[in-house]
Amino acid sequence: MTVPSPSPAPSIVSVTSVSMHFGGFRALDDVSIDLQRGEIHAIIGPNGAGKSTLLNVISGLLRPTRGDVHYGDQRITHVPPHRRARMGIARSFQITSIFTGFTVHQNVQLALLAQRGDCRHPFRLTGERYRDEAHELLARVQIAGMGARMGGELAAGDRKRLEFAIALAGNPQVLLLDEPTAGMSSAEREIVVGIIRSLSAERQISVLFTEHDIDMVFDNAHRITVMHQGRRLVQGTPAAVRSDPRVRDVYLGEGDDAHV
Amino acid sequence: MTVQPLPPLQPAAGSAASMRTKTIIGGGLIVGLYLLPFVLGESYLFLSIDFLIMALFAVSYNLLLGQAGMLSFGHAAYYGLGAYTVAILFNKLAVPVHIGLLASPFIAGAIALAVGWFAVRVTGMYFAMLTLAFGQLLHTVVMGWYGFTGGDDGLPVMPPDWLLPARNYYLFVLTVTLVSLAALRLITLSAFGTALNAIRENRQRAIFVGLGVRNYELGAFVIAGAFAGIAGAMRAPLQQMAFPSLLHWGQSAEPVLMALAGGIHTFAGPIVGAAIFVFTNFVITTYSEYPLLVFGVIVLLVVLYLPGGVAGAVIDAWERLRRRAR
Repeated sequence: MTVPSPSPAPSIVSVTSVSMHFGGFRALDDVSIDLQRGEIHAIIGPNGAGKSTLLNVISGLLRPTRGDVHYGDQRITHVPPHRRARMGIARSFQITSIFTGFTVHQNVQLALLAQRGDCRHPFRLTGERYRDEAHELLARVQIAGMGARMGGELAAGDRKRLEFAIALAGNPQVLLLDEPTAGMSSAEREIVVGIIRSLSAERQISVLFTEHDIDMVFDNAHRITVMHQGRRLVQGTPAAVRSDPRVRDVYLGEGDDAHV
Repeated sequence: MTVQPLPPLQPAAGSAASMRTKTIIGGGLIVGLYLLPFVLGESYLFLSIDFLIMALFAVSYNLLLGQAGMLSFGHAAYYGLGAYTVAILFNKLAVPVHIGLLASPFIAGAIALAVGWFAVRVTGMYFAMLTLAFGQLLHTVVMGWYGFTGGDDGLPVMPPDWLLPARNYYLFVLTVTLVSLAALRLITLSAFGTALNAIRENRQRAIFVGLGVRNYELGAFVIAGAFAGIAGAMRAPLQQMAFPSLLHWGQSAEPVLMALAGGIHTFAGPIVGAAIFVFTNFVITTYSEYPLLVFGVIVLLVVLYLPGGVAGAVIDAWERLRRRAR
């Protein structure tokens, strides 16, 4: 039971004054962002704004030069990525990352085995373990009929959905999605958007995603963070972001996107 | 050198009929192997012992190369350490070889843990170079430590009387090898083994489903080292001697070549590779001084024309035949 409250919802992930330097290049420069429980939060910005880098810092792929990342009350700045995955922070990649030499079913099965700690046991047979659960996860992204196919045979949109099912295997609290609908047909997009919305609404899962499709962002995000050259430019509701003149100048003012 | 993405080692869900065929073939093979000493002459029995030891050595290695995608160039170090465990226990503490053999996986595994702890911090070629360097380091230590290892003179090993007849030693080696191979087979089919497949397939995705990949690689390295130690422990009593050359990097090339010849994608591949290796060595040494040269050419041809190895090619052909029969 939640108590309605005018104060901001508790944040599940907070990034505080994070900088990420690669040699002399500042991919992130003093960025702070908080992700609230159950919120759908989009990060937008031109290429090279630091969106993917930010996701990499939160998921643990990169260790920031400065600043901190908290997950609930825990400081996780130095927690290795596989442990963050076990703690409930799941992610997808801009270039879809699946096990191409496994069947679709085995992809999800492995994710379940890993998340539940089975993989530590050298004599616990894999066999048909978690077959039904794997099937349910695939049904959720509507590729249950492809279970026996090899991951490498799938079309781009199906791969993305498989990656999504892999990410959901650990019952994550936080989903970090790098361009979740890129390369998808509009029907596939609807499926993914529908899942994201229901995860947020029904299970209070927080979703932080980057996206180039501006309409998708403004239709679905509760809040939007606009980034530019490694800095956080604006953060707010879609309406606030839409009307912010700085956003127009830096990002939305670019050519065709002006209609936003 | 990167390892090609491979299909997972798990068998496709086979029909009950094919399972039954497999059980019959496997059971028949095992019975046949136990009956072998009653039909074969002594020199062929020694050849068979050699094959069994090399098969275990190659399969232990393939846990790294085929399953986890780790190219180690120092696997002989653990093989040699197994041989020296038996030899040193026998010489210093008068422990009989069949008891010393029980200690060999623990000694070889412990040293593999120490080496692997450093080696798994890097991947690919750097991992290969580190394992090679550590292997040569261990070789140098064994070579130079006269008081403990006998240095380059080697260390004599005398099996007890009941293990001296070729037939008895064959049955002993056969039993140890079959039990070891069964354990390795379980490991390859376990959740741990599946995790190794996943790491080989896509290291980054493996991390982000929650696998601490270095720990898994270290685990594979230790298990592979321990079983190589058992293989080495059976080698010393066969030659009645432990030599430093058992740890040498030239020896490390053998499991790599055997695995490649037989095929690294299947569990049986390295066993087939070991059979080809031991048999060509036997035939060729009669005519030539360079058996490894001939085997090297065989491996080269296999890698070029049968990239799945001999076992992979046979399985493919069998599948094709079955599909046509249907």
